[in-house]
Amino acid sequence: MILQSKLLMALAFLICVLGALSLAIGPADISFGNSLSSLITDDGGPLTIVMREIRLPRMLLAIMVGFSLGLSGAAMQGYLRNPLAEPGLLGVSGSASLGAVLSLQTGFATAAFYILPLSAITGALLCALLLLVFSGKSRSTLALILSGVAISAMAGSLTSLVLNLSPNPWAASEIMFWMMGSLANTSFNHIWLALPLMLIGWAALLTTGRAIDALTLGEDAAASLGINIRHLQYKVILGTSFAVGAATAVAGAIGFVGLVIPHILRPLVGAQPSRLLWASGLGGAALVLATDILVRVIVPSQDLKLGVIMALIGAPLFLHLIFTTGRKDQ
Amino acid sequence: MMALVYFLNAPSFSKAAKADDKPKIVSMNLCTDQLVLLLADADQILSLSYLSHDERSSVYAEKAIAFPTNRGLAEEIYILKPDITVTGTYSNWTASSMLEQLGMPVARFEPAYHFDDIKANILTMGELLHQRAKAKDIVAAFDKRLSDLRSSDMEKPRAALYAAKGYTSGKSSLAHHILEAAGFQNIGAELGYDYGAQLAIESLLMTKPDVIISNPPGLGHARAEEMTRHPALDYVRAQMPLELTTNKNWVCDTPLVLDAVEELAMMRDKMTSKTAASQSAKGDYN
Repeated sequence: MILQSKLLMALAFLICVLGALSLAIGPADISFGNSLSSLITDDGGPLTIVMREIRLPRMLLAIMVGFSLGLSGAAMQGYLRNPLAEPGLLGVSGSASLGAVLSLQTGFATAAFYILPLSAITGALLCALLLLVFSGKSRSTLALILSGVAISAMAGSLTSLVLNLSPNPWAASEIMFWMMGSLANTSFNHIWLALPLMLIGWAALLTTGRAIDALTLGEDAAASLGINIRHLQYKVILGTSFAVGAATAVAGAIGFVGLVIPHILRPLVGAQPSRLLWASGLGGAALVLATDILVRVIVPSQDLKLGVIMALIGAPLFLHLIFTTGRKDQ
Repeated sequence: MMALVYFLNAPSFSKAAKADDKPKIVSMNLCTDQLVLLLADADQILSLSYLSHDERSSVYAEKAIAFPTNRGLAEEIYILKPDITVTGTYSNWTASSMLEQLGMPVARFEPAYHFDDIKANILTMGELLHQRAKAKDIVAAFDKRLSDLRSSDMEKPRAALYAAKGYTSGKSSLAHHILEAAGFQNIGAELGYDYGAQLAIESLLMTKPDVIISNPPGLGHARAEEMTRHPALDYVRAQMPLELTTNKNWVCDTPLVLDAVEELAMMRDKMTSKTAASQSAKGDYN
C-alpha cells in the first residue's frame, strides 16, 4: 500500500512537471518565467489572456482526457480480464466521434449546451452494447477484438461519410481530427462541456475496484463473494461511455492510451486490477500531456494530431501483446 | 498588373465578332459569373456556374436565378456552342483546355488582388461582351465612389482578418486593400505576409489588434471556423463598437467591393470618434 501511494505521488509529480512545460509551450514567444507569472497575476495585456484562456484550458483538458482514457482502459481490462481491451481498439472512441459528428452536422448540437457530449456518449454506449452482443458469452479475446475492429471501421467510415456530405467546405478536412484527436484551439468552454459528464464516468469506474479484484478469481467465485456481476457490467459500460464519450466530444478519438498505460503500470501495482485504476488514470493524464507537448515541439506551426504519436507508441505494443496473449491461450 | 491572361482561339472568335449580334457567353467561375451579370444583356448569357445561384457567395444571385447553370464540365458547355467561355485562371483547367482543343475560345480571368485589377477585369469583360461603354461607365463610377470613400483621417486602427483555420490576409490581397481604403492598418501586412498565412490564436492576440474581422460561419459545422470564435478573442471583440464579419462583397471583382469598404469605414468612424470624444472629455476635465 505504501508502494501504491508512492507510485501515485510520483505520477502526480510527473503531471505537475509536464503541466508546467505544457503551459510554457506555444507559438507565441514567451519566456517560461513570464508565462507563469502572467498566468497568476493579470498583466492587463494579451499575455494573461493567452495563458488563462488558451494554454491553461489546453493543459487541463489534456489531463482530463488522458485520465478518462487511462482509467477506462484499466477498468475494461479488469472487467474483461483481457489486456487488449481498450476504448480506441474496441471502437468506443470511434463510435463516440460518430455520435459527435452527427449531432454537429445535423445542427442538433446547437439546440442545447450538453447535446454534443451526450451524443458522443450515446455513440460510445451503442458501441459497448454491440460489443456485448457480438462477442457474446464466449469471452474469447479474439471475438471481442475482432468485433471492436469491425465496429471501429464502420464508425470511421460513417464519420467520413457524414463529414463529406456536410455543406461546410471545411468539414471533410476534419476527418483527421475525429479519428486522431487534437487539443489545439480548445477553451474553457470545452472543459465545462466535458467535465461534469466525465466526473460521472470517473465515479462509476473508480468504484469498480473491489468487484474487478474479486473477478480475477472467476465469475462464480466473485459472485460467491457477494459481487453483483450485472451491476459491475453496467458500471463499466456506462462509466466508460461517459468518460470516453465526453473526452472524444471535445478532443476527437485518441487511441492506445488505455492500452499502453495499464500495460506499463501493471507490474508496478502487483497486477492487482483495483490498484491499476487510479494509477492508469494518472498515467493516462501524463501520457496525453506529454504527447500534446511533443506534437507542438515537432511541428509548432501545424496541428499534428495526437493519434499520430499515440499509434507510433501503441501499435508496436499492441502487436507484442497479441503475440504474448496468444501464446498464453495455447 | 495585367489582370487577364488571354488565351483566345483567334479564328473562331473573329467569326463571332463579325456577327452583328453581341457574343453569347458561358461562365464557369463564380467571379466571372458576377462580371457577366454586371455587364451582359440577358440574351447574351447562355449559362453561369452553379455557384452563381448561391445567395451566400454570389452578390448578384437574385439576377442569376433567371439563367441556367453548369458545373464546369466540358461537354455541357460544348453543346451550348457559346461564342466565348470565361473562367478563372485557377479553376476548371481541364475542362477549359479541352474546350480550347475543340476550337472554342476561352478567356481566363485572374482573381483581383487590387482595385486596379477589378477595373481592368470589368473593362476586359466589357470588351469580350461588346459592352465597352457600359464597362467604362461602371469603372468611372467605381473610381469616383472609391475616392469619396478613401479616408484621409490619420488615425488608423489596426485590424486583423481572421478566417477559418486561422488564415489571415497579407499585403497583396484584395482584402488588404479593402481594409486600407477604409482607413485600417492590416496586421497581416504588418507581420510581413504577402498573400496570407495561418496565424495561431495566441500569436494573433500578441499582436494586440484593435479589431478582428472573421468570416461568417458556413452551413453545417467546422472546427476550422469555430477557432475564429475562440473565447480568448472575445477580449478584443469586446472593444469593438460593432461586430463585423467579411461577406460575399469581399470575394469577387465587382463594384460591390466598395460596399465592403463603406461598411468598414463606418465602423472605423465609430471607433475613432469614440476615442476622440473620450480624449476631448479628458481635456475638458483638465
